[in-house]
Amino acid sequence: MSFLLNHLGDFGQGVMETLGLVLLGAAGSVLLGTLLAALRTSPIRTARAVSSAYVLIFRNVPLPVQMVLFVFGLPVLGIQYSLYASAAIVLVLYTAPFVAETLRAGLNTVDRGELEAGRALGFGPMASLKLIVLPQAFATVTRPLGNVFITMVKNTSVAALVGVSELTFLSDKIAVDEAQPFIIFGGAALCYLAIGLVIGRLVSAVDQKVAFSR
Amino acid sequence: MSTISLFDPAGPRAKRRHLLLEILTALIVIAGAYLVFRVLYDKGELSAAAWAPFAEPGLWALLGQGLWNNIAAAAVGMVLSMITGCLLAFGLVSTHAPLRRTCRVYTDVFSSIPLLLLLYFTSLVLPNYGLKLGDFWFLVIALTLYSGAVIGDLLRSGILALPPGQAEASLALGFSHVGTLRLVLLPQALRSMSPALVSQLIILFKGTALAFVLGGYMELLRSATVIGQYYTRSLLQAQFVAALGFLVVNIALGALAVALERRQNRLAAQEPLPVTAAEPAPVPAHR
Amino acid sequence: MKREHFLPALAIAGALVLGTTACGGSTPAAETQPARSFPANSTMDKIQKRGKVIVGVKFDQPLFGVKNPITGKMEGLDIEMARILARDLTGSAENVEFVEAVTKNREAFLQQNKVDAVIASYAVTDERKKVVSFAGPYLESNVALLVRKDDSSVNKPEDLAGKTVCSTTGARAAQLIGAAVPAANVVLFSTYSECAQALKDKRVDAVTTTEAILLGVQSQNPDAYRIADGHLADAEEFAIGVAKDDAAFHDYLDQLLTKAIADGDWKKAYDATIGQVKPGDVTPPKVTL
Repeated sequence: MSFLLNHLGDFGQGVMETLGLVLLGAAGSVLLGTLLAALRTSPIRTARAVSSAYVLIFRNVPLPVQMVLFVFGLPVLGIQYSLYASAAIVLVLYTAPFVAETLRAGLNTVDRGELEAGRALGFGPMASLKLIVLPQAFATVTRPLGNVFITMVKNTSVAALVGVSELTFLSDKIAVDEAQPFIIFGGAALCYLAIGLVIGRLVSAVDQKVAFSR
Repeated sequence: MSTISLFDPAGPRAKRRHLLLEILTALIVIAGAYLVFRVLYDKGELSAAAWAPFAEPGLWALLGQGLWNNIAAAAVGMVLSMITGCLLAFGLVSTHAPLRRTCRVYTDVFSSIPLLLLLYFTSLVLPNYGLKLGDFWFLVIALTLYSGAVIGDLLRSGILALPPGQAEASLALGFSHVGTLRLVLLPQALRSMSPALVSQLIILFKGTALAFVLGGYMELLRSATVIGQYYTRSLLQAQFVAALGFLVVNIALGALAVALERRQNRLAAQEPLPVTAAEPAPVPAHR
Repeated sequence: MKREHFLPALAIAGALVLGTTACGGSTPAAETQPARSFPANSTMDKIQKRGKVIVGVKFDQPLFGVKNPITGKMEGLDIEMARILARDLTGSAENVEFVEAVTKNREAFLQQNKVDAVIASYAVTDERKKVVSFAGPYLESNVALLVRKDDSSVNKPEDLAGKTVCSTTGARAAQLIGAAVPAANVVLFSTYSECAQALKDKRVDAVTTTEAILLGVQSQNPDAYRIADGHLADAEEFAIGVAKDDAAFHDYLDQLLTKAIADGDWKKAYDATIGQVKPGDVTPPKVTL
């Protein structure tokens, strides 16, 4: 078991990079997903079309394919980021449509009466969105959103395909070097499990706090 | 799908403004597309040399075979995960606490582990135990382990969402617990969860693209990479074509999911005909 | 001749004619009798009885073992070596079954007897020698650097200090460059074409692996890349991998390779594959393993 201790540093690095990707991915996809969902409600047809097209394309091209195209294809267009940044960006681009679709369901649960009352009180569309609609929408969909994030944790492993030294990449490298796949992968699986459980707990806690507004 | 309207219906000035914004957005999109096209052209990515291999039908045959391999693995994986999922669902709603707890642990564990990690695991660990399987089965086993847990959970929530009267009536009629599950609850749960199940099929299909790391299974992304190895000028082109292939199939599957969901809603909304004690009315008035 | 001798003579003549056509003919069937016989239970005997040799090769390594995406045929030096083996044991070069062996499973394939031999750009290392046995080598090649054509700052491994160099996961070159130039950043992707693309995109400054592979990439993109003049100190030896305890097969393969080098078969195979991108004379390797 000594080889486990030798690689504790690597494991730590892998977990750190995975967590970093999770945090960046969550923050970015919430921002972009909210934007996409908001665009869907716009009266400007082209804006709606752009948002729908984005969701259609980025939800239906598999993440590994997106990752590979982004890292190797986009630099041709002059857009090149570090591997880690690229992985985080692709994660955001891929997860945002799922956030947007989940939010859309939440948006639909907001009562028409509230919107009309808002208009009557003089709220413009942006203010209505910000103060009335989005808070309620988010409160309604905390659990499904939590599921999206747990799936995203699993999706961070795809960054291994482009050489990012996150948990899956490193555990594969170590498992091959040490020829002890069972233990190494078992350890990595436990780490992912732990991260998933923590997120699940967080989501439950948030869900309970916002339950009153449903 | 109706979306909320944040805005009052547009008056004439607003209509003009919207039209202007629409034209503006459209122009921005077209300009962006043109820029991309221009850069690709300048860098030679649209040149005949880079796309030359695609003139050969043999290449398309390889890509088609690759896509078919994805579909085959996803189909077999789906069948096996459905079976695993049904069994798991039985366990998850069982009255037998140890069984329920074991199934719960299995479900939680395998829905938290990334598919890629499972793939690495099956391809490195299983051979050590003398299981001489091809890469197809490594992929399918990993997919089944992963999806089976998710489907089991889905079916469990589907079963629990059914009106309790169903289970009570079935038990009153003398069916055993297992019989109730098998004959009454599970079929209904399957039907009501069918859109979510098709979504899981889409996720499964997208997951088959990960097999490209195994190296042994010639699915679409791997075929594109091999083409890129052989014709090093055409790596991006091959990857792009692979992306298109996946896009088309997934959109088709997505349309299937939406159609299923519509049908589900339509069926659920239909009221059952009322049964009157008197002789049957000639034509019920409300139909 | 006398009548009673006619028919037997005809029969003997007929048998002789049939016999010579059978032996001299080019039917690639498994029934063609090979010239030698081997001790029972040896791998060679097993292969002969089976009628074909099962070899683990790469399907995606140009010049070594690659499946032509368009024709579906296997090409490369490793493939030619496998065909030489098949011809010697079974009489025909077509009696080969190719199984895809990727870097990770080459040792497992031999340990589990999934294949008779592994000829898959298999470089000899001390760690691998602990687990499998190597026969040959059949190729010696330097570990070279591929750089952008207009980049004159990288000409030898030492120039990579502070720069980024790319290789593939599991490639020995990755470990070698890390040891030789500790100040270099090593990035690992899954395929060489991805490394080449990253080089073009200026994401990395060099790609390192066996010179033959780099030559293949460079010949397809002559305007984009060039091979740096300097290479790593340690050359790589590519050999045939066999099961660790199969000494008989190992010795047989060594003999086969020595013969192939001596009577020109090796050179023919080389010219048809690597020789296409590396014109000029080449000294065949010495079979030392």
